[in-house]
Amino acid sequence: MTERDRRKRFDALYASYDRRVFAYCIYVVGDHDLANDIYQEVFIKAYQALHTLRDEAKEANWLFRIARNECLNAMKSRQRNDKRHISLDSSPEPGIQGDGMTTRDAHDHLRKAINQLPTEYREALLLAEFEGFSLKEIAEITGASLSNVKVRIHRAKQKLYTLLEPILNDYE
Amino acid sequence: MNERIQELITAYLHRGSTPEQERELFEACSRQPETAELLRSHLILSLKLRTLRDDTYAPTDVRNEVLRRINVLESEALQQEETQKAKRRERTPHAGFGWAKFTATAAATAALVSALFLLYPDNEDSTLTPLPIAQLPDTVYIVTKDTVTQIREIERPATIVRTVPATRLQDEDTARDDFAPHSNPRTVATGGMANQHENNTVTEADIPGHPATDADMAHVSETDPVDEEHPVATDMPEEERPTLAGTADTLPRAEKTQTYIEQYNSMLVSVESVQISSKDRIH
Repeated sequence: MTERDRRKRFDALYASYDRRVFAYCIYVVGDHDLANDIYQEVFIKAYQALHTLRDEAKEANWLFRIARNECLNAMKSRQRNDKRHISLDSSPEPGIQGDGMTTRDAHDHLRKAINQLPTEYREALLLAEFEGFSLKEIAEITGASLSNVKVRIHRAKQKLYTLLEPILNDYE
Repeated sequence: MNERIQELITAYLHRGSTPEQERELFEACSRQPETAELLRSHLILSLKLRTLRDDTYAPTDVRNEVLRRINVLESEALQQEETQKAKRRERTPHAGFGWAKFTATAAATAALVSALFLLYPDNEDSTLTPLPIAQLPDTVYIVTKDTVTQIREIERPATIVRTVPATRLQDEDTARDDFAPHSNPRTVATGGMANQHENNTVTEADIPGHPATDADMAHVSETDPVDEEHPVATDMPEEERPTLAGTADTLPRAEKTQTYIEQYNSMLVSVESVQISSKDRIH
């Protein structure tokens, strides 16, 4: 693969997954600054390792595996240096848009609820609901078994229902 | 709500259910309103999460930083590519002329081999096409008493003439009654153009080693009794042998001589009938 081909392929990849990767990163790590760093590193690593992507049909799986690894590494580093941790509860909202107060409030509630989920549940839920991966694909990305993925998603939703019951009722 | 319904809903929403599981879920929804309500709440949650995702985007400065870093990486990689190409060109400075060199070498070799075959055509394994016969010298076989005494190449057209003095013919006529031409060739003429190209005339005196001039062959004289050795002259019955006796007694001397020479010439082997090959050449 020449450098020109690599760049061309990267541009297409970046246009397709730019927002999705950022959304995944920010809701998995729950930290805007950290998510910004992870987001950059994900695409830099993707660019450098683009020649290893054989099957273009699985480029989403490939890219989100990179994103997941970067998120887990970043969270481990954050745990070692707890000063860096800034919760979504107290962070500004540069990337969050809403049409009005109702939507904005609903998003605030959602973000807080997601942030309260355990990392494994949060990760599985985001891959399933944000990115639309199937259970099998989530199992491939996370390395967990299919039944384990089902359980994680199910429990994540149960907890979200508990946390978001007023919002869900308002939606009606 | 039982765990089975929860599992069916999760599998259905995340593309993990089979057609049988889907049918089972829809039947449960139709039978139990609480199951239908649970499925509806799941769908609402999914919709809200999707909305949250769609409202999330990377800040512009972060996106610009990503593209800036990618541009740096790309330019570095391009520089590396150029450096590697330059190194490859240095390692093979004339790589662009490889085929030209190869072709020129092959052509030069072919020309050299062709020249060698032309200069040394005696090679038996040679498969080169021989030159046209008109450009090659003819090979003349000097035959004396059925024996090839000499082989010589001459330029065409050529005439080989042996002049026989009249006095010797007269002596010969008186000494021999047999068929003399076989034992004593006098004249060999080649081709119909023989008389028109006298500048190429070859006489016996011109041929070194010929009995007419060579002392070693002096014993092969015109009067030697060689007729007995000739298969035609000796094996034929006496009455059937060709003879000039019938005309020799009655014709005048000059006419008799001319007739004798003509009959003799007609029985000689033409030089043109000789098959020339590379093996016959003089080394």
